[in-house]
This record gives sequence, C-alpha cells and structure tokens, in this order.
Amino acid sequence: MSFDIHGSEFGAPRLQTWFVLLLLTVVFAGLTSGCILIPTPHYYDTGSRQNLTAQSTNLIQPGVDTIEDVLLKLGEPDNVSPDERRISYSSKKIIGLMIVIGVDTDGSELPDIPQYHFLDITLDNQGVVTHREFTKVGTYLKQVETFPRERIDRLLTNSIGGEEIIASSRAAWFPCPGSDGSIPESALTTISRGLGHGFGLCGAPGNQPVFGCLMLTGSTLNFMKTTQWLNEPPALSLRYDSLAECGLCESRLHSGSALIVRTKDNHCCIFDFDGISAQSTCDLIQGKIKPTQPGK
Amino acid sequence: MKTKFLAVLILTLTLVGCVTGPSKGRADLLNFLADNQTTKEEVILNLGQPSGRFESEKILTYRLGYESGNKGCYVVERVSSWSGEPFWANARYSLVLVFDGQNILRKHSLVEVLR
Repeated sequence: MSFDIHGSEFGAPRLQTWFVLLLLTVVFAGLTSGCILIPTPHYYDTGSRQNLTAQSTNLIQPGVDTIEDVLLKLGEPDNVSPDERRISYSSKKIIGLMIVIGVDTDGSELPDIPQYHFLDITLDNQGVVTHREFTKVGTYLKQVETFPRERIDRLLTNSIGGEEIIASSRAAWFPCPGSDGSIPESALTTISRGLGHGFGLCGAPGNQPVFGCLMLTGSTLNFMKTTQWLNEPPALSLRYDSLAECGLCESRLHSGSALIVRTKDNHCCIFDFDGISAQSTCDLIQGKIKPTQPGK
Repeated sequence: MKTKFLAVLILTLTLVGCVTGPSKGRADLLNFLADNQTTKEEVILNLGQPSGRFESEKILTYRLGYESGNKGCYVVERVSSWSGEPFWANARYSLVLVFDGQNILRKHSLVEVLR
C-alpha cells in the first residue's frame, strides 16, 4: 500500500497544500497572538465532579423540589450562600490545549483550556426551588485561567446570621497572636508615629494569612475562610461594640493599605483586601464603633 | 554464597516495594443505615463528622472514597482550593442523609459524583 503525496483521484487536497496551510497557521499565530489553540475532546479535569451536565437541570423542578430533593438527586453542593437560599454545583472540563509560539515550556505540560459548568439553584424561604440555571464559563476565544471567584462573591450578597450583608470582599486575615494585653499603647498611635506598618505591633511577622471573605453587617464584622462552608459560623466574628479602634496600615500583600482593628481587650486583626478599598471599609467600621468612655 | 545473598537481597527489596498499607475501604461501611431507624448520633459515631450540614443540620453529607480492591468505601474530608474551587479527587460518592425533627434518618441517597 502506498501513500499518494500528490493528492488522490477523489479530489482531496494534496498533502503539500496541508503543509503550506499548517506553516501559514504557525506563522500567522506567531505574528499575531503567538498562540495556537488545539481543540481536544472535552474531558473532566482531575478533581472535578462528573455528575453535572446540562441535563442535570431537568432533574430539578422549580415549585416542586426542595433543597432536600436537590441534594438527594445531585449530592453535596459545591457552594452555598450563608442563608442557604442559593446553592451551586460546578464541574471543570478541559476543552483544548494552547501552544505559545516561541516560548520554551521546559518540557512541562501544555496549558489546558478549561471550561467551568455551573448549576445555580435559588430557593425560597421554605426551601423550595424557585429557579435553576445551567451556565458555561470559558471558551476558546474567552478563556478563564482559574476558577471564577466572582461566582462565590455572588453568594455573599444576601444575609448572614439573619442580618443583611452591607459590604463584602475577598480578604486575607492576619490573626495576631501574642497581642493579648501586650500592646502598651494604641495601635493607631503607633502607626501614626511611623513605627511602621502595624504588623510588628501585633507580633505578626511570623504569622500566616488566612484567605477568605470579609463580610460586614449592621452590627458585626465577619470573616469566612475559603475552606469553610459559607453557611457555617464565621471563623471570626467581631461585634463593632467590641472594637476599640480601627485604622489603616501598610499592606503585606500589595502596595496599598490594609485594615487594622483592635478590640477593647487588645486583640489585633489585620485584613488585606482584594476588592473593596481598605479606606472605605475603615470608614464604615469607624462609623459603627461607639466612642469609648473616658477612663474606661 | 555471595550470589545467593545478593539474590535474596534483591528479591526482598523487590517484594518490599510491592507491599501496600492496610486497606481503608470497608464494604459494610454503610450497612448500619436504615431509614426510619438509624439516629443522627449513630451516624456520627460510625462515620465521624460530616463534610456538610444544611437546613439546621437536618441534612448531613459525607464524601466517600472507593477502593476497588475490596469494593469498600471510606470517609474522606472535604477539600477546596484557596480560590474556593471544589476538589473531589479523593471522593467518588456523596452520601446525603435527611433526618426528621427527632434526629431519625428519614431518607438517604448515595450519589456517584466521579464516574
């Protein structure tokens, strides 16, 4: 059996033509974006749940199914809002590979092109499904590099502990061990004297950040760790009337400012933000802190 | 003699490489579950702390790994990345348990999450 390099009698393009086309594609990719996208059969990424498809939507009947029916059919959700009125299932598929022209990958794997699938379910106060929606995020042309974190942020807009969330943002919390009763003077005074950044104040250079979300309600500052369920009690919950002061200090993660709060019993906490500004959060908290009685 | 010793040493080392730890999975792990009989206390005593709690702990969920060798299941912890991305790599099933007001198991289902 021989392979006809000059084309077939059925009129198929000649192999030489394919080579020229491929060469032109590579040259064009190199001159423009520098990337070549190779579509692959869609497959689930490692660690992704695999029981979520567009057909899963049809399993859930609005007005009939309750949260318990949803969980019995689809299993544990991937995310839930603090008030449990919204739950979300997600999966991640790889839909292609990307080759970057002229970049040495050191033999490492080619970057995957992911596509996230979401099934968002809204429930009423009786726990009955009112709405369900299946969406896909990430295409060849509009790629997403990581899990779309805004999906989680969207769950943080209702209420927590029966109170409306008035502001929320992704944040890194630096708990300050050793701050117990060891602060000889006001945190804010120290910062304003230029002794620096507030971390030394809390004995914090060695401490590790805890990543999560800061949520402010009318009475409380709450912090939820990324690893915990949003319907669990917050990892940190500080009532504003337990705070002595609030101010800004140097961020440890970026060039901006971070928020520092001190409780009346001399516990310090620092928060680095990703979304909202530290200044606006500080203003909001300062407006809530009751002035300390002189002599107390 | 030397050759024999070397042969035994190589054989021993080879076999040591094949030794695996005790199996984690139990084929009878969920046999104690019976709707309208099993209590929440019994569930926690048998399976430990759940990976998720919903509706004021009326619904508990567990993640279960699967061992094909002995067709057994074992409880695994919930894992998610710092970005909030869920991670099911170690779990194959999601066990959902629904209790009534007296903490008696009313319904349950074992959902295959990884196929």
